[in-house]
Amino acid sequence: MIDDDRGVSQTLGYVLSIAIATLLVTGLLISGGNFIDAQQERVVRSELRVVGQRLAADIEHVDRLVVASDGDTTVRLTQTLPGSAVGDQYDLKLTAEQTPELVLTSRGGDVEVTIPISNQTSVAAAEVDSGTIVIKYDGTDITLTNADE
Amino acid sequence: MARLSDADRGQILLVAAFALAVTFVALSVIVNGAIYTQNLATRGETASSGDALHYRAQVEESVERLLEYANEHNNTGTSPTDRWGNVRSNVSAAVNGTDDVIARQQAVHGRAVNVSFVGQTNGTLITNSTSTFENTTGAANWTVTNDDVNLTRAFDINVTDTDALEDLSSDPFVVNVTTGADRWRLFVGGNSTGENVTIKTIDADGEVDTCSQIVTDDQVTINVTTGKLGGRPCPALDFGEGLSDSDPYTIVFNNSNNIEGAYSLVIGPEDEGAGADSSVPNFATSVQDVAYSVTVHYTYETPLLLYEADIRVAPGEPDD
Repeated sequence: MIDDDRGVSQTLGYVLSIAIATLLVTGLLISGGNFIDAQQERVVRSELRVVGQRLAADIEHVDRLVVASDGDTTVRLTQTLPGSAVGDQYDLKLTAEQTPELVLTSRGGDVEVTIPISNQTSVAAAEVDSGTIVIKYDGTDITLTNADE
Repeated sequence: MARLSDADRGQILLVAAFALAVTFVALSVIVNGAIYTQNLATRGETASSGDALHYRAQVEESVERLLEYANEHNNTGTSPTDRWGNVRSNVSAAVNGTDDVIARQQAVHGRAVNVSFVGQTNGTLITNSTSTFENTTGAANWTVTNDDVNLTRAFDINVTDTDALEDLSSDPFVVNVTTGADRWRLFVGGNSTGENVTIKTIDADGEVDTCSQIVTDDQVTINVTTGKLGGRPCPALDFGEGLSDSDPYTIVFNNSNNIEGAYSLVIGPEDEGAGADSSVPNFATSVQDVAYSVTVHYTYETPLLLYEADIRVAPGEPDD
């Protein structure tokens, strides 16, 4: 008789403990997942910012080299950037406005970073992938291309 | 029965532990990314483009010295064309020699550096062989250059007796630079004891600027094109300020009896085919054919950077 009572409460006990365990584990997984996402976004943003500033510094270098010349100039600078930021691949876009900007967008996570560039030579708009990038001055504009193009 | 419950609880704990382990592994990947970003941020330049400009400055300095030497020692010949040709061939040979030395030095460091002679602009050096500023006929107001001069460099006035300078309000020595429509003027004056020298410039828009210098030994040097009075920078000395860059100009000296010392300037461009010193009416006491400027082609190459540029060397030219 006491066993029957326990039997009934055992099944309920199982169900209850499974349910509670499921809730707890799901809660743990969800909060863990959110935490990882938040940290990943911070690190991706910071890495894109560093990569963008390195490339912007190289573009400004090419600009200085062009300004230092007194006649026909050719400049070609090759820079290798990391292929992905914390596992996410990213794209680079150079806008040709009054103050040109370098915009880096990560493909996976919607992170976008903008770096302004100060220059005296005009800049042509360009879109490139991450990897090895060639910064060239062709006589009129500074352009960016991927190295294998 | 009690043991079964224990086993259940153990399994749930394992599942939770697995979930945490996956989280930690993912976090370690992120930490790795953060450390790599820090390392990337502190790396220096990889393309050594600072060196490209550093060597460019060295090449420019060397070619400046070559040009000055050749102008002083190699402008020999029977005609202006001969003299300019001699200066050109000497500078060109010297640039090639410099190229050999630089190329070998840099090749050791894994860089290909090249300098080659491109061309020369001919010019004329006008100076006085006595200590007066008057021309060969003794006139105090005279035309130094004709009206097809576009370039002037290394214009220096060395006053040896500041007592002889007139006050700016009476008849000071004037350098007139006229394009026909506009003019830029430089007045050189001193006080009665010769201890204070003042220069005044009136540019093409009518703006007046002055600089003064206390002089202790009766001597002062005015570098008109490089913009210095007595060795100190003088913002008023902006040669040809306000004159259009494309219009040729004429240089005239007025009241040259009110100044004593030496002057020298190099003007250009001179056309080889047009004959001797067509810009200079031959009233200055000493006229020589020299090179006004030299252009060389500079190449700097490393595996990551290619830089090719022309360098125009004209020592003492006014900075724009």
